[in-house]
Amino acid sequence: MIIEVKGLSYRYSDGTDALRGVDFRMDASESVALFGSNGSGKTTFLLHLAGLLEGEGSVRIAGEAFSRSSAPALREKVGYVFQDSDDQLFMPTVLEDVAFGPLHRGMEAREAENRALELLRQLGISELAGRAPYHLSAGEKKRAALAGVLAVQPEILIFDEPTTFLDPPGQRELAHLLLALPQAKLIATHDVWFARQVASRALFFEKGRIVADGPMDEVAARFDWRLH
Amino acid sequence: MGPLARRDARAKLAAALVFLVCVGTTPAGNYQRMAALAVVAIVWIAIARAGLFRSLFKASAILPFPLSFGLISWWVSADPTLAVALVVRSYLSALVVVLLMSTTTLADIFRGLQSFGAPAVLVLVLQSLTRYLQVVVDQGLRMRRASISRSGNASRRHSLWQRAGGALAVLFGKSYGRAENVHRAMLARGFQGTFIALRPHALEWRDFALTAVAAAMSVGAAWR
Repeated sequence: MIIEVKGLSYRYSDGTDALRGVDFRMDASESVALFGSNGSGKTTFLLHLAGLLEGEGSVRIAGEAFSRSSAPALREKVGYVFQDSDDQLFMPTVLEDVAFGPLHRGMEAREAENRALELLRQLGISELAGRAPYHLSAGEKKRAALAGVLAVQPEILIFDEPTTFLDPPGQRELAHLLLALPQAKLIATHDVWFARQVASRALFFEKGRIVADGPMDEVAARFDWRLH
Repeated sequence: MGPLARRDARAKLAAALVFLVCVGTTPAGNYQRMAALAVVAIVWIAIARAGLFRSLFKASAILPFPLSFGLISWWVSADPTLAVALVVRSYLSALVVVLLMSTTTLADIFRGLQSFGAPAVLVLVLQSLTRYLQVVVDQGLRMRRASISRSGNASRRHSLWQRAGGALAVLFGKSYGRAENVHRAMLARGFQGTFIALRPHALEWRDFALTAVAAAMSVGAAWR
């Protein structure tokens, strides 16, 4: 199991119970879509998987439990693409932003730059290398953010509502891009069409609990979604 | 990009520091020396192609503060010399800081400060502060657009101030949330408290020459 979660609960400082005893297991070969209304706990759950929040219960990544001491090493295995790319792109240029992860994980500057340039090329945005991230279009920002996450070669990719701010062609491009990536993927989304393209399994969150977990078509049928 | 923009931040920081010391040690009432230092600053602005009037204008943003304290000083001591010195020193200092900022990226300035031995915690706080300021400004612009789109008129000063007062708490609340997301994004990608440069600068002979010439000009002007 690449991810194993047992009894995960989390309460925000304002008293909101965001997660209530969530259990979840995921295989390295799977791609899972997370559904649920706003505030149902999807993002809080994903932040725990990336070691960015610490709740009650246990989260194991590739067999190792998250703790304060293990968090930096385990975060290397998990790549998190935030909903708003502006939150994620914080360096002065796209190249520096993509190289940020490898550099801060001990890679030599020359090697980190080469890796960043190669990823920008693979994602078709080489020409953006010297640009300031806040001057890019939403689609370009999303690709730059994805390049920054892929640069650290994670085993798991987490996407928080990846189609937000993207136009339909941008959404289709992103779906093709995700299909080509070999990593295990978790995708929180409201877009059933997009989820169907990139995931075969679906979870449904409600009030901090997983109330449905199974093949995409079954979960969709249970909630009467139209997939076609 | 002017010739100064290509030079190492450490060379420019050192030159700016010498200039600031010269300005700070210029005795009150020595207007000839102050004028000479002003000429030095203007010469460097011209060399940097930083835009003379733009730089003079930007530096004037600091004037309300020394003017206020200068007026108090004049009122207390009944001697305008100290007040004038305070205003001129502050303005010349601001001018050289504007020149430094217009020829050097913030990231380079922070790296330069760190290599000069500034405490890592202080540099990290400064870096975080500038990033969070960007977040606050960005969030403020978003809220302003939202406000204009709903009110249809952003130019009426009264309603603008009313809105600003009401929105300030929301702005900081939202900015805090966004800043937290930025911090999470940094942690998720391996940040552990220190920024590492992708292309760290190496000092060249031109950088040493720049510091030497700039320092000589400042000291020469101050010893007139």
